[in-house]
Amino acid sequence: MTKDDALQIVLRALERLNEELDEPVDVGPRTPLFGADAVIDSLSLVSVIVDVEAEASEALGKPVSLTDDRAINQPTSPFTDPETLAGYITSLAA
Amino acid sequence: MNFVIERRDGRSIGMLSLAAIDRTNRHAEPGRFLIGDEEGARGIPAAVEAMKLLYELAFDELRLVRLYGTIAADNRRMVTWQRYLGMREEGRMRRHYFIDGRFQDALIFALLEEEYRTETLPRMKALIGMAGAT
Repeated sequence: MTKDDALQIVLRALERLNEELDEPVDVGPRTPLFGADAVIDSLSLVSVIVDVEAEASEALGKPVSLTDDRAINQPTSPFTDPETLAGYITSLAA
Repeated sequence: MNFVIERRDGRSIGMLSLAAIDRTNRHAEPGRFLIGDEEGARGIPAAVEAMKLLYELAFDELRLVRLYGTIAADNRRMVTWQRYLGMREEGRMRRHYFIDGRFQDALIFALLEEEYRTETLPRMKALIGMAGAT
């Protein structure tokens, strides 16, 4: 899986989330997902996590967990933005 | 028991409650979970932290063994959230809610103490921990 493949998985999850939000968020590689500038709340973030885990697991052919110890112990949170999350997913594929 | 969700700076951003507390059968129903000030909650895991505190109250202080509740079937975000945090779907009440001009089924969810300790708590801590890493 390339980083761009992973990025598309994350962006698709955000677009699915947007279909459920009263006020859709701007979706792009640098959309802040968590932290002071985040555009979504933790309820929405969990929706994104679940969608991304499901699609990434299918693409990689193995279970993908985005909230395990490895993810927590990253120096920068994988959920900083879609670009960072895509990079983290790609590292899981290696 | 009703609670206001406050940020550390004192800004009130939501509420939640623990109702129908049955100390004989040791169960209760979390509910009225609302983040009313979405702007105030943005960027912080307020919903996770609030629910973690409520679950600690239920399982650690009140020594309950089961929490349960219902969610409108079309509320996909809340259904996903509860499943992710360990709640099990136990049933469905057909046409139980009348929301936005139409009937919706209610899904019955429940969480047992051991599921809370092995699944819910680690995932809550992970979400809170990752927020702190940003």
